[in-house]
Amino acid sequence: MKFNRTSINELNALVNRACEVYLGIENDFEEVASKIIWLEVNDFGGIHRFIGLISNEMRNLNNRPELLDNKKEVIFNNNNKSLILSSHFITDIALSNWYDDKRKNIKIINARDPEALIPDLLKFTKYQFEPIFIWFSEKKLYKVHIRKNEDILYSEHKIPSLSKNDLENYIMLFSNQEDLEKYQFNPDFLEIKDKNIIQEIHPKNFLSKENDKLMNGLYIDKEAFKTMSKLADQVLVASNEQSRQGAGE
Amino acid sequence: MTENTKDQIAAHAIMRDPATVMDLNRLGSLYPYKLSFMRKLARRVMHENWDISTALFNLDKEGYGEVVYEIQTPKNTYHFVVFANYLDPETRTDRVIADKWDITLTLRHGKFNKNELSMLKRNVPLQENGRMSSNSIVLSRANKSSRNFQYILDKLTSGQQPSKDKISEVGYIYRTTAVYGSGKFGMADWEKVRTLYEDFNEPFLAEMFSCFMIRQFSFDQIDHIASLRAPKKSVKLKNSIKRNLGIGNATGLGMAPFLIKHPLLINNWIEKRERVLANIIYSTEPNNQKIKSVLSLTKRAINHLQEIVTGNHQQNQINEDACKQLILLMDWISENKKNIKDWETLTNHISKEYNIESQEILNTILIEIHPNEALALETSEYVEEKYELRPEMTIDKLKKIIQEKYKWALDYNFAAKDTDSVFWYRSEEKMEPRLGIRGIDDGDEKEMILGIAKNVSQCYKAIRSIPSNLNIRTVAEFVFHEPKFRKIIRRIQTMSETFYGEIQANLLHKDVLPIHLLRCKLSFFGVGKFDPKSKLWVRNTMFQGAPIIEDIQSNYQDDWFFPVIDIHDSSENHEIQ
Repeated sequence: MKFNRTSINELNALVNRACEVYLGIENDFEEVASKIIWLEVNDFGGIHRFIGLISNEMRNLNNRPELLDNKKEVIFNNNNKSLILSSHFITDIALSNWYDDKRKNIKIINARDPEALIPDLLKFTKYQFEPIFIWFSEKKLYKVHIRKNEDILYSEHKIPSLSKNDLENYIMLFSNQEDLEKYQFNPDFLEIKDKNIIQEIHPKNFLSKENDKLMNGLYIDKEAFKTMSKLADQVLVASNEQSRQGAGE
Repeated sequence: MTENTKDQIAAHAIMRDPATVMDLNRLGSLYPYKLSFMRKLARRVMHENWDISTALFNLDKEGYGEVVYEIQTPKNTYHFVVFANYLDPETRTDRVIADKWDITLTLRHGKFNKNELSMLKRNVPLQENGRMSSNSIVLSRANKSSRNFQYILDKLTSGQQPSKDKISEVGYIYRTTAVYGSGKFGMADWEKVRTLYEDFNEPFLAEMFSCFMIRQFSFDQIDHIASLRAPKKSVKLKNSIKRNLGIGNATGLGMAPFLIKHPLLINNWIEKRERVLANIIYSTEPNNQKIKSVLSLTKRAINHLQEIVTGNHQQNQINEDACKQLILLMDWISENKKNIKDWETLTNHISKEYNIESQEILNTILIEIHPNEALALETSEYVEEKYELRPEMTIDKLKKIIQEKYKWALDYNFAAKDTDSVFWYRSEEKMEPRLGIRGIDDGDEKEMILGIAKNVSQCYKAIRSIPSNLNIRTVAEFVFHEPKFRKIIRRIQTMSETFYGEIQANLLHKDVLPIHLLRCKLSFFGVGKFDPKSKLWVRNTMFQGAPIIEDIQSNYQDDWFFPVIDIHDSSENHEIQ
């Protein structure tokens, strides 16, 4: 596979233009672009996930999740879409709710790309929250805890004995560890939640990934770069004699 | 409350009103000042005695080939690589869309390694179409001034120095047409430059240094060609003349979107300038020496303006008017100097009697004669251009912020004729920003979001129209209901925490003058001698009057303010106190 080396800023500009085309100015495309960049810099494949979206999904300007319930807990239905396009709506409501001291837990059903919540949740630490979210996928439990100073702890756990399928296909977001502890999960889950760790990514690993990209740039495979550029170039307007006058010629 | 916050509140109480300062016409009347980036860079180079030497000088008799300079600072080593090629005069253009230039160049971190030369030779001349490595900081190009290059070369070849009149007419040998940094084309990200290459840890210092080095190359190249053409008869360009030659620059619309997209940075630049000015006006007092300095620098400003040669009628008129008013001001000061007990008396007089151009000239002079007060704020605070939504904010509070901080935006009637007549877009030609007329030019469906006033106005209207049955109380609920306003609300909330905030102008108005935006930014760079070629682009001169590398290690006088042509060997200028 051949790669293009790019700086973060250069990729950021490219992704912003691509998102502007894909989402239109009616959406906060910059927020979406910043999530893609965060995922890419932190080795969660932001560019490939985004290319997956644009290749497989019909372009839909309305990416807002459905708010199903707001009583005991806040429940969103993301309609099988990627959280890359919609997580900010959810975290906006979560932060506003927690700030008002309501501390409701957030449940997101039918959502893809849960990692897209991470960049949105970083700012929560400025409000003294240390949010934590979990999800299940292919007999694994994933847990992300954002602690003070934007420290991220990401862990992946094996769940061999967990039988209840209803734990799948949703994400639970809590304002802190205490709320997670209080939540009435399947008892099996309580047993495994801090055990059977397959993989952990510590704050220092995240910092080192970011530092590495800052120092050396990012390597994006040529095909992906080409696809992004093709999309991004759609913000450009064809040039002619008259348009050159608009540059002062 | 911390001491810093108290200081900030106290400073804000005496700083000029944002409505005055952020008005586009006033921003378009700013001049370079003591803390402009070129001045700052020159102080750094001179005070730290940067060692600039030639690591490779491989030019033929026509001046084509490559030159590598090595730059040793107290903290780092860099090299500056220039490729000079033949350019058909017919194809020479200042436009960003050009694809060939007289010289192309790059500034890189680290010692010069000869093995890298062929890689650089393959990429640097291609500019936007090449790829750079992660230790490259700046990529740029420049063209010869067709008027000056041949003239100066002929003079040196025949054993003479160029005349003062000719230098006054065009004060440079080369003119840059684009200077790229901040991670473009694979170069080092700004964050890397800021944190790793301390010498260039403030915005645009590396770009300014590259222009300083282009100026040096222009001297070395022209001396080299003259000496090969007439080894016995030719002379080298005198140092006193070199100091009076700067580096030309052509700036177009590209700078305008930058200003709108970096409001936090711009606020920071403006606030610093205003804070220095306020400190001077309200914390220092005039005395005989200071009044004498004001008069002397006002005279110098007049001379500087009179030396500017531009074919732009409007700019000539502006310069002439400023000169007339500054002469009147000098008379008024001379007559009233005993009554000028505080600087406010002077600034009030000029605000009442003269136009904004003259007002801003006086302000830069006041800053210049108070170097201690200015340099106390020389170090820039780091600004991260980040606009986070504050979803917990109540809608009532947001509404109040818009009413207070964006009153200027709400004052526009976007239903009225002309207020939404133009649009900004990116051309497929090197993504060059262009201005189109709505309804006439193609591309308004792809317009760039630079109409901040219009967006704020639409957002405010939507907030006021929220149906009560929706029970929307917070920003989170509002943007969930109206996602299209999320982006502008992030900006409003962030900018509401700054003192100066936004540039107060409607960039979609039929009569918008983007040139004011260009000049505002250029003044912070330290650029002078503005020569507008239309309302959309401007030629100007950088580093005219600045020290040259032969001056490093000598006693530096930071005095190249409103430079006037001075070709005497020993300068009698002294830093004004």
